[in-house]
Amino acid sequence: MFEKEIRRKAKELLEAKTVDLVIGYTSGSLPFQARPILVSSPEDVGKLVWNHFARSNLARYLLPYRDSSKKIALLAKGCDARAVAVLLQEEQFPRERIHIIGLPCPGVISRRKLEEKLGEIKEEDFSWEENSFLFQGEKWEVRPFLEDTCARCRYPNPPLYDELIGEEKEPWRDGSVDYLKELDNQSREERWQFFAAELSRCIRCYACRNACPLCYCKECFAESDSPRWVNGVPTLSDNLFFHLGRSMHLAGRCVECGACERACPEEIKIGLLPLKVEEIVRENFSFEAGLSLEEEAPLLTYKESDPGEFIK
Amino acid sequence: MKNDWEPKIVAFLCHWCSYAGADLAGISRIQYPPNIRVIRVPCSGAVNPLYILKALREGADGVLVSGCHPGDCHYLSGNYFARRKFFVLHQLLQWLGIEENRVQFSWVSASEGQKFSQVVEETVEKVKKLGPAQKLVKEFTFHV
Amino acid sequence: MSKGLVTKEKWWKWLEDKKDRLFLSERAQKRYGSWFPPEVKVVKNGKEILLPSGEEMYRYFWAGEEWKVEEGEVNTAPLFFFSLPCEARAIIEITDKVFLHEPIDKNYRQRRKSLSLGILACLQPEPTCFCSLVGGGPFWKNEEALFLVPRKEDIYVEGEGELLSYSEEGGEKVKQEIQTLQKEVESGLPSPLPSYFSQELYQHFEDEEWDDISWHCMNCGACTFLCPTCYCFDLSIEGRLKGFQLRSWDSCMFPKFTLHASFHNPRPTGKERVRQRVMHKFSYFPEREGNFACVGCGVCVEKCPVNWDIREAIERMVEKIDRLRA
Ligand code: SF4
Ligand code: SF4
Ligand code: SF4
Ligand code: SF4
Ligand code: SF4
Repeated sequence: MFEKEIRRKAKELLEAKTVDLVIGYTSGSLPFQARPILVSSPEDVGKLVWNHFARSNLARYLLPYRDSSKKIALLAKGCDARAVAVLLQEEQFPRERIHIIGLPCPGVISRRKLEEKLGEIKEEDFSWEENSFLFQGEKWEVRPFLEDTCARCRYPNPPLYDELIGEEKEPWRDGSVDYLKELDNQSREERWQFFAAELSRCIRCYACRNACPLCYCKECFAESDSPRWVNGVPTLSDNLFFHLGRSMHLAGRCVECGACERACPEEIKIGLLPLKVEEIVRENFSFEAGLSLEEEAPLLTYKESDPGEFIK
Repeated sequence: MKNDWEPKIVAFLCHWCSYAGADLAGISRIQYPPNIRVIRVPCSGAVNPLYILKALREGADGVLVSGCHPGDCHYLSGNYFARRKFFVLHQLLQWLGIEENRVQFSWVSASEGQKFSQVVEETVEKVKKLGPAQKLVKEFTFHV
Repeated sequence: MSKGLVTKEKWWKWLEDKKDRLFLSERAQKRYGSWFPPEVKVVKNGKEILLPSGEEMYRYFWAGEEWKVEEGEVNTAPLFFFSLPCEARAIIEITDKVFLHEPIDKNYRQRRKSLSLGILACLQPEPTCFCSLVGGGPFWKNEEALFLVPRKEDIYVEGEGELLSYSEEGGEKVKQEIQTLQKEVESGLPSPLPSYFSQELYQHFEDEEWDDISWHCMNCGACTFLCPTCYCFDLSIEGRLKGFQLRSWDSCMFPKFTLHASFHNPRPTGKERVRQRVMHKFSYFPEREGNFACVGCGVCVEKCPVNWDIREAIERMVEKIDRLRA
């Protein structure tokens, strides 16, 4: 899946010194994983891979270089590129020091779903295509195996890039799988029961936050001592506080990449909250983060006609 | 729930309008329920959603945020920004399953002493219907 | 210490009066869940019992003229915790050494005194397991704990106490079977780290490899919170005129872990923090206590959102050390 082109491009950029570093994915120590990697020498481009297991949002790996002088090439799926766009707009990184290699995203596949549907799985039993795969010779569509966060993706194609490798794709989204909608159809109390059960499993490891390209605060409110909002114990109330607070901080900024949810070691459906916030923002303020560099962030502006019926 | 339960409500009032409105209600001896604990803020736009969550965490049964009417903000547009922010918060809390009236919002100007008292009455009434807050209140049951 | 076979019926009979005091580790449950009653409390690991993620150390209140302090009471009902060998080892060889050596942690000691351990032999090591690399093994046992090998119709048991009185002599044949099984399981696992490793590792504190090793770690708390041996905690006050001192988990992965009051931070970036995690487990702790502070359970490897694998860090340093020694 375009791996060769990606490596060739990375090599070319490094050799020509167009960039100092390339940030991409490599295969990890466990099957069905692609982990982030930093490539600084043209000899190492062979380590780069591109497949259905690119779970992380690589834009988060840019920020440590903010105050350096390094020029960086970033492999960017649709959502990674959207995150870069928000970072650029928030002046967290200079445009001239980033080279975006856009990759239309084939969707991230959930290992758990593979196991649920196919039983015991080994890497060598698979051969992968963009939209389908062969498992022990049998052909399967990719769609039912997508991570919940990706099944509802509307922007697999990077809206911003310096060059694009691969062909633009149709979004996966066909409405058939949308875990937000499933919850919308429940009663308020049912939703509360659902979230209470999910969030009481949270161990407050902050993997969700640290995986998020837009949670880049030097000191997160959740760990602030003065003022102190929550304590360090993962009780339901403080877990809710953290996730609600975080979702509010992401309002109009979250690029719906779902990296937070895919990072959770406890497999908590934590992307639901920021994704819901984005839906609220989209439906009421007609704004989607990371699609343009010009349009003003929705919570940094207002309209006199904004909804106000909820205020007495 | 005991019959004599009275809700505690934290009210964030903007200095220029709602706080002055409350003041006017006081000076004019307009009665309103004593359930609110007022926190004066410079502007409704300065109310961080975290303040609201924190009030609930620390045991408030309800929260009221009140500012100047649209167009009347002392800082010109603070309340417009606030409106967007609170709209998102309000929707999110409801979606999560928090009772709609736990957190309420109002516009009260400096001359609306009467309205202020009505708003407080209404707020208290609605929170009373909900009963004591439970959902976002900090837990004290740790292992010992 | 005695050994023997306990039949299924007798095992259940032994469990009968312990049902509400039984704890089982999540990983042991996956393999041996059917040997335990539905009432069993499933925990991630022993930390959940001995070092809960939140506990009150003492309560205080302002009594008008002075502060009054009341110490927390620790539950001391006898409990049973069954787990895999690595998880039991995390208690016996790591957290016990931390909290039961001077200065003794009162709460830990009280909980520990009432906790009996049962070790369930590990018959299916996972791809992430490396217990044998760090001094343990799938058949690791300890005299204070029961050692159990569940079989088709009975359980092979080693240890002391009531359960053994239910057991029957298994004879030479069973002994043979267990030994063969042990060999089989152990054969797929790595051999122990060289004895000089912990000392030499420290010589490489300043090496530039750490940049590369730590690069993709996001410094979250997933690995340390889920690790059965990570024991770091934070103390804070909850309340004002009335409240309590709270102990909660902390992690060396977090930036504030080492933040000084002066705002100086000796571990300012991910590199220092990742290095600390490796050094503490593989150099500082073993130099002080004689064994690694990692039991090779592989949980951190499995749960890491970005597949940061501690085995790779160790392998890389072993290779380097051996290269330099040669
Ligand atoms: S990653 Fe999961 S467990 Fe960790 S803080 Fe986020 S929701 Fe909680
Ligand atoms: S909140 Fe989650 S979905 Fe939104 S940008 Fe951050 S990681 Fe992506
Ligand atoms: S949750 Fe909020 S304070 Fe914390 S890192 Fe994210 S944006 Fe910053
Ligand atoms: S090693 Fe993995 S789990 Fe541990 S802090 Fe780093 S990213 Fe988080
Ligand atoms: S460091 Fe990892 S492998 Fe070692 S004991 Fe902790 S969780 Fe297990």
